[in-house]
Amino acid sequence: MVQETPTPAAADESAAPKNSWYSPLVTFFSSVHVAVITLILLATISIIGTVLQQENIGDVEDNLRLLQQFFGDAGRAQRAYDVAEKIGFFNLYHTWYFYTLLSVLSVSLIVCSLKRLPTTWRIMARPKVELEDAGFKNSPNRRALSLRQPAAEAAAAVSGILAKAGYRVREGERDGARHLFAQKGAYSRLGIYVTHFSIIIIFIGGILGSLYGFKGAMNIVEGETTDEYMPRGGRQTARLPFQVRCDDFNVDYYPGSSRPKDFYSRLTVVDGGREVLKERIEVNSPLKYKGIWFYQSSYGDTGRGLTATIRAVDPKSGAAHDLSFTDRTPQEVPGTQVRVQLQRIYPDFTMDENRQPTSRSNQPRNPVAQVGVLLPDGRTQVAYLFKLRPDLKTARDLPLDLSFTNVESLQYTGLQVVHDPGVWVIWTGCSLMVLGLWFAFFVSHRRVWVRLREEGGATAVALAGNANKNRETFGEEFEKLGDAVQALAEARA
Amino acid sequence: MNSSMLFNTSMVCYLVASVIYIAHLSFRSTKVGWTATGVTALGFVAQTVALGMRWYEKTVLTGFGNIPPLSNMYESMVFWSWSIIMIYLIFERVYRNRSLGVIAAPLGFLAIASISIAPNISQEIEPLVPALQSNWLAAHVMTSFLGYAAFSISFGVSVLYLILAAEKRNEVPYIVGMASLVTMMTLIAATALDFIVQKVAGAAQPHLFAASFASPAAGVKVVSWLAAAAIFALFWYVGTLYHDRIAALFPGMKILDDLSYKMVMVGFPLLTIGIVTGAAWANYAWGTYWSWDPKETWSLITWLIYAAYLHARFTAGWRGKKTAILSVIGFAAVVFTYIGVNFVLSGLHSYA
Repeated sequence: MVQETPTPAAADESAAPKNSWYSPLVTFFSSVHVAVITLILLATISIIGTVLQQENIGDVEDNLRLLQQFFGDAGRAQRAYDVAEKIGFFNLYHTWYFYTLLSVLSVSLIVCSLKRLPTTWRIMARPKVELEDAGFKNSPNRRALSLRQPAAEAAAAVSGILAKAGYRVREGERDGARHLFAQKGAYSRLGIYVTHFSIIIIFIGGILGSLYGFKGAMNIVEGETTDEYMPRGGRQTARLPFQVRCDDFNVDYYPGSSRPKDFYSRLTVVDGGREVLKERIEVNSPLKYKGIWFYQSSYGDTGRGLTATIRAVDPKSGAAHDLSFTDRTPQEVPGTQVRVQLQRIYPDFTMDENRQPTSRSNQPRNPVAQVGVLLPDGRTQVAYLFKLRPDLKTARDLPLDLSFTNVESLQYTGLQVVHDPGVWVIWTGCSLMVLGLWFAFFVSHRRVWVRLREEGGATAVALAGNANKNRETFGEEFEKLGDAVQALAEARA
Repeated sequence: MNSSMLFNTSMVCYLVASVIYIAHLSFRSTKVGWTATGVTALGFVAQTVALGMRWYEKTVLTGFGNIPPLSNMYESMVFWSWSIIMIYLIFERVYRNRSLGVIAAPLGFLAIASISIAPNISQEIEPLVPALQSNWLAAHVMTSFLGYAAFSISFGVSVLYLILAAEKRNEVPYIVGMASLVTMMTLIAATALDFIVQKVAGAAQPHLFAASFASPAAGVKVVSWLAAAAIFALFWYVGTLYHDRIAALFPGMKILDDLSYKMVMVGFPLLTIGIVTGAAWANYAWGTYWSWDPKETWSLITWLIYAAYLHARFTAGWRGKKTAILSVIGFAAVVFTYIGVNFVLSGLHSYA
């Protein structure tokens, strides 16, 4: 569709000159077999890479379990694991052979495209203006009619019709007849080259990113400022050319659930001692400063600076008091002689195997406060207050109605730090690819040839046309053009 | 009235339409043809309204009105079904030809029915995790699934082509086509059986195909496989016997070949845009446009297979059976990328 099958002569012309030093290379890289084998190898490696866990993506240790399942024998599985690790099967997309295949593919793309380009260019730029008689006879779309106008006048009128339909018209002469050649959409033939070229651009973007970019993780505790981050796969921290402060971090949950709806950090960029930028970031909404992007990726609890709020309601008076705790010091509830002591916080409450309360993690998924209620007579009652389930009562006969209304502690925000100068190259390549595909698939190169020959008092007009894709639509258009030319005859009569 | 009732309505419509389209092929009656189109269109309207309602229900629950309901397996499968029917209805209108309804309507039914019945797949509207709260979601999922839908139709047409173009029973293209057809039919039958067991008999099932292939009873399992083998043997045998009569029901072979190719031509740029928007989203959410996650990698493999299809057609001049087989392989990759990866491999893309 995109290429017209080149004539043998044209193919020879565009191939590398014989006997030059690079002709075997051209033959190698333009070979369909080489391209197909490269693609199959790339696909095979990619598939293996989705079956075996890869470094930086999954847990490489899982591969040992997989191999044990496969071999059913721990010793052989271990040996296979070691071999696989040595030949890079756990980091396949970064092995020398994967890169080699990508290089072969790139060169092959370039060579194949360059080899075909001259033929395409000739079809586009140096079209045959004067079609032979056989062309008019055998064209899939053709029309013959007679006009009374002299050839010159008829040619101008037909030319006008074609131009109005969006065609670019050229004129010529052959064997005493006037010839017109009209085309549109010729540039669509370049679409496939743009697409091929865009793949190379995307590769270049990837290379730029890996050569001049960096990625890392950065944890900042609320209120702290830092310029240190941990590069991916690295062991030692690195420094940014400026500092970032986390002013605040928060998680919002869906009502009545422990699913985070949103988590966000308020960040301030400090450059050269000055606050230059303040922004609130969340997942899908990063911060950018001096080409470095900060993505919200995780969060956690430091366990430091804990503040818990317990609401105490005196059932007699109905008076409510919010008690704010930062340590274990008991606080007296005003108007009563009862004191309340915050004994412990379980951020992610659960019961262990001995049915003792414990916390599953540091994430505040199910916060529970263990409080002591110190009665005036010296007795102490212990109660567990569930923040998410205020209706659960674990202690009876308490003199106060207690609920756990809020807990805050110093949290840290987990940021992904990325500098990738290749990203814009990647997007340029992707846009070009989509654009190229559009022109290659949906825009057709349409050509119309016209011969006008004066015979007796009239002008014999022959029309021929073709399109390199979407031929049905062109067939209809050609009929309309033919009808318009026919109308010239009727108008004159 | 809620969205799932309407989804069920559309599911029933597509099943009924499948039967009417088959009747239309056999009787060639215009009235029957219009009935088939009418029922399909009714199902499509119901499904469209249902999608709109689900969007509304989801907005009420999550508070994100800008994000269409395309964020889990159930929702994406429903959208796949919707896209297949939409592309088919456009095709029917443009080409004024109903014969491919026998492919599109069952595909549309299968997609929505299997997901509605699968007990281990949640139909609940779930709150959106922060990673999914992005305007990229709509662009990424819609383009990917419209592409998948085009590939699905190309697959269906290719299967038809492989069966109709066969001269002998023992040629590979014919066997590939028949195997694909019988697999599809068996899946529909197994889904229908699950449906009957769940909805009519009211039995609870732990997973999909529990009434047949995945039954806890070994006997049921064996009978199911034997039945599938018997259907295959029967179709494989009959397919060539009535070859001419069946072939006469469909548009010419050249048209089928061309259609299969046109659908790849529509699907390929859509898949490309789907991959690119996915990369753009990943870059915006995590700072990495490509991380060789299994889903990403498999979408790339799918892309390569269809790229190979296009090159085989343009540069090597492949036509007919050879490209039809490539289309079947491509579709297998689509199904694996979409469904297989979630169940077989692990990765970032755990939503759908």
